[in-house]
Amino acid sequence: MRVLLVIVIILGSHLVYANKDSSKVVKPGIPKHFIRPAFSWSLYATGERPAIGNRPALNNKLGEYRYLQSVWSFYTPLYTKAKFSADSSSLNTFHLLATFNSVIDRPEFLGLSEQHRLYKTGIGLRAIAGLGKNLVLFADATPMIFGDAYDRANTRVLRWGATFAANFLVNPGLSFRFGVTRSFLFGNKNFLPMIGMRIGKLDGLVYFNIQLPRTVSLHIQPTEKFAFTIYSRTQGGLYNFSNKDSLYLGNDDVIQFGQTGIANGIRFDFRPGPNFNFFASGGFAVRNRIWFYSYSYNRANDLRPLAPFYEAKPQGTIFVHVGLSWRFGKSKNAQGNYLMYEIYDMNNSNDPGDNNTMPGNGDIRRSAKAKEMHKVKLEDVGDLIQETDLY
Amino acid sequence: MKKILLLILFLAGIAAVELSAQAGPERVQALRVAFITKSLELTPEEAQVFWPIYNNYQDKRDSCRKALNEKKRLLKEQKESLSDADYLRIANEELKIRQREVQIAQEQQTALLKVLSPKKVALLYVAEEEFKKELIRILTEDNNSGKGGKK
Repeated sequence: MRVLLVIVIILGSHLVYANKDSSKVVKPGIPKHFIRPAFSWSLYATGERPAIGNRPALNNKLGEYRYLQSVWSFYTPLYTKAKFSADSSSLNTFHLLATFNSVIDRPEFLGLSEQHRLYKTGIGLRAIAGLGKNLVLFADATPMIFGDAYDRANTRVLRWGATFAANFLVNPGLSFRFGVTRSFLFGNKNFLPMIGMRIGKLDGLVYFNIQLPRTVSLHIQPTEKFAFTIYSRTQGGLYNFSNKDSLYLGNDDVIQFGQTGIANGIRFDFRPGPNFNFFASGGFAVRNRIWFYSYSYNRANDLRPLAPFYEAKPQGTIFVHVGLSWRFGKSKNAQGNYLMYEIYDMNNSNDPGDNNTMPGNGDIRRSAKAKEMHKVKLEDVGDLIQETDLY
Repeated sequence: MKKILLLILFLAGIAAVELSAQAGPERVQALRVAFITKSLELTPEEAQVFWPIYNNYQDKRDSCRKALNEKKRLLKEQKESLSDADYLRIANEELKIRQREVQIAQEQQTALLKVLSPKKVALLYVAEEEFKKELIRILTEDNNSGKGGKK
């Protein structure tokens, strides 16, 4: 159904663009925004293994465990302001974006007769400011509705995730990032510091990026179309979970389910043109943890709200992760502007809705070398050349 | 299984369309950055202030160029149905766009002189011309040797 929806949107947008009246002069304008609207989708799945936890009766009931996650996200610029400083030495920019995300998490316990489809849907706002020559400020807040499709009425709850971060660009090949995030990636509600560093140019052949607590990655981009990444990323979430299976023996209609782990993998990115990029990735999911929490039990026993009554450490297992991003529309030219590249990177590495799928920097083009000029085709330069250039 | 097959077909379709999509303007921009940075021997600090300014005016120049191309298209396609008044209007608009291009060049020069030496600003015009000539040379060579893309 979702695939069909995307097909309809893509075809619809092509029809809108194609349906121009050829008899009218279309006055071309300058694009308003630096950031193009983008859809991203990804699917993550692990292998199955026993969920061995601290309650044998529950271990038997749950059986083997595997995990699937499908993430849809979208962002679009709402407002962009760009102004040069008085001495023209820097371009200050402000970008306000709307974000949307929809996640389906399927923690499949093969011992249960019915599987749970946990969902999370959120619409948020994001502001990014590029100030002077070196500084980028980033703020994102996303309220999200969480629930379990098994029992929607009783499991629906509103939570919100947020991130505030500052990025300091020392030079195009070195940047530092600091911030705080309110995140559920570790299977609980956490306020976490963020600290990061990147070595190497974002448009260069190789760069190393460590952005704790989310990712550590080494990117290799041999051509404009292909890239490889060796990475380690946090993968997880906190969801409301229907208690219809009586996993918790109290009277609760709803309990909480938290899961986290680290996905260590290799990823292959393919960017066939300016609008789409695809990725396929595989590796090992390690340091896996799952928890079940009961608010009513914790209240009655004077425990913190998210203290688990069940905790398991499923063994490491293989995973696959595939996805795509689609960018559309036009944007202002930012080629060679490394502070804008930092803005793109912050926007892409902080997924809408507290996810951490690494949709990729499809809007940063790999830098070119003058010797690559032979790749240009005549139709690419038709607009550039006048008859006076020919003599 | 059917769903997966459909999805694979859909993605393969997108990839095929994308491979034939116009990546040209993007590629030319990237090559221009490489060529001008090298020609002007821009230091990393100079490049960091130069490119935002240059891109800003490049967007404005592109807009003028597209407007001129639109007029050319109109004149070509509607040649028979246009009146003398239409032709005069189009000619005047063309002149205005060309005046605007000169104005943009003046504004760009004023902005660049605040961050670059007069020598580098003057050499920018040479580098832009050299870039175009280099492209023409390569395209001509490719054309003569039969290596060129769609012609």
